[in-house]
Amino acid sequence: MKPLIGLTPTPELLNMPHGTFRRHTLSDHYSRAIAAAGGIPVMLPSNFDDADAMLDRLDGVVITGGGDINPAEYEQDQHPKTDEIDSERDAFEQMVLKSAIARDMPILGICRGLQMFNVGLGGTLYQDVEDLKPDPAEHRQQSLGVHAEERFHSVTIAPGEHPLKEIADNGTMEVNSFHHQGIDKLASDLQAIATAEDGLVEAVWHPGISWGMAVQWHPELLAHKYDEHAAIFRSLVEASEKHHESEVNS
Amino acid sequence: MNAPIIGVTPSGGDNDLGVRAYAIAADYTMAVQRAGGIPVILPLHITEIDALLDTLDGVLFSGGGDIDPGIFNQETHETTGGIDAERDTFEIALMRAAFARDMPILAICRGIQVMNVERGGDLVQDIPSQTDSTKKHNQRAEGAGEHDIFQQAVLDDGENPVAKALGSGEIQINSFHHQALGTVPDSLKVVARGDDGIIEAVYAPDATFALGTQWHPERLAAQHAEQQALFDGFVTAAKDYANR
Repeated sequence: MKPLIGLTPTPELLNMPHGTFRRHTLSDHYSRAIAAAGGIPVMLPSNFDDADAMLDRLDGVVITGGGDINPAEYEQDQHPKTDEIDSERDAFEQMVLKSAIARDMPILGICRGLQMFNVGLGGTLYQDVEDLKPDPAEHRQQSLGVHAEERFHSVTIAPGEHPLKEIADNGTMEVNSFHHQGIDKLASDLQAIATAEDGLVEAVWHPGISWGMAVQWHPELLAHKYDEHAAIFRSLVEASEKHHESEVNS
Repeated sequence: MNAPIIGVTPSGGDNDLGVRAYAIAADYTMAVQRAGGIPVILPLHITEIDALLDTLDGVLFSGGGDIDPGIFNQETHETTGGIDAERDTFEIALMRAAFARDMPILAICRGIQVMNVERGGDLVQDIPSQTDSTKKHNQRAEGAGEHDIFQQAVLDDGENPVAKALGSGEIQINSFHHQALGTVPDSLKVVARGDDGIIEAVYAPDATFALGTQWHPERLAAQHAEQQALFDGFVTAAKDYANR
């Protein structure tokens, strides 16, 4: 059986001619990247209240990109640029993160997902990199007119045993970038495995589980044309296959 | 025993960044969840249908835009809209494969139309201009709320999964559609109609659990136990399927 990979969605409230509906929504790039890597992608309803029952039926999970995490989660007051807070989504993704780690299920975080890894495990964020981080580089390529599916800056890959070390040819990767928040204090359970030239953490690895990684960039937008980004999804799918086999055999 | 996992089909469309995205009203997933199922939403680009179904215990076909009338050999009526070729291809293949392995199916609004078309039937593309019905089938246009009861249908007596949930005789439903079932194949049995003759529910007697409703039970299920009972019956059938 192919591994079943759950993707967290973006909740939205939509006014339509036939009514106002709360909806679960997600761009197709994420699921296409998982399918291309050999997994079966499904989107998860973010108002589901029993992550354990849900993860019992999955082999891997992805926490996707989206709006900002409520800064109350890391005990800060809200910065004026912090936006699109959705407490239901925050709670759901925290549950998924903790349940996945507790059962050693492979988990990938993307953009907001990386921030959720860090906040969920006790770290903090710069609520606005431009305003709050010393000597920030530009992390919003759209402000310079660079297309989302093009690479924008390089990151330096840390030594050690983690998937990016195997994926990156010469210790660097070229990535895209569209975020205004970023990791400030790194959670003690996480290792920084990629950094931008301004020192911002661009990827983390959880050494306490078999496969737990998060990236600040959006590999799902690059995977169809840059193989090193497709390789991130292949690594997740491969780890999820192993997880599935170990569950079946246990 | 793990809870049964139910695949729910979403709508596809461009989001405000011009990127194709999939979306589904939370009413569907909450009705499955209340019934004890694990709802997951199925990306419409998936082509490996059998590998997908290997991971599921039941499939829920949701509401949405109109089916391409070319699929049931009709010219496109001027009011037919919201055609999504990726969704048509995915849902028809999924319906066929789910029937082939006798996986439980619940098909709502567009879903009952997909079921009918895939089984060999066709549709009325526009109720007001192509039938004698003078009833209103878009309750929002009449000022009713999206979670309100709007009209009635009459349900057949006897053994069928719709009557099992809702009882026989007059039932209270809602209405949000401009198309309806036309010719129904022998493999499906009509079990509910409005007083204007419009088909409101069918099921497949040869399948363990495969039924469709033209109305939207997911929008009523939180308030009306008999509508929730449709989802309860579906999830129970999915649990039995998982244990086969």
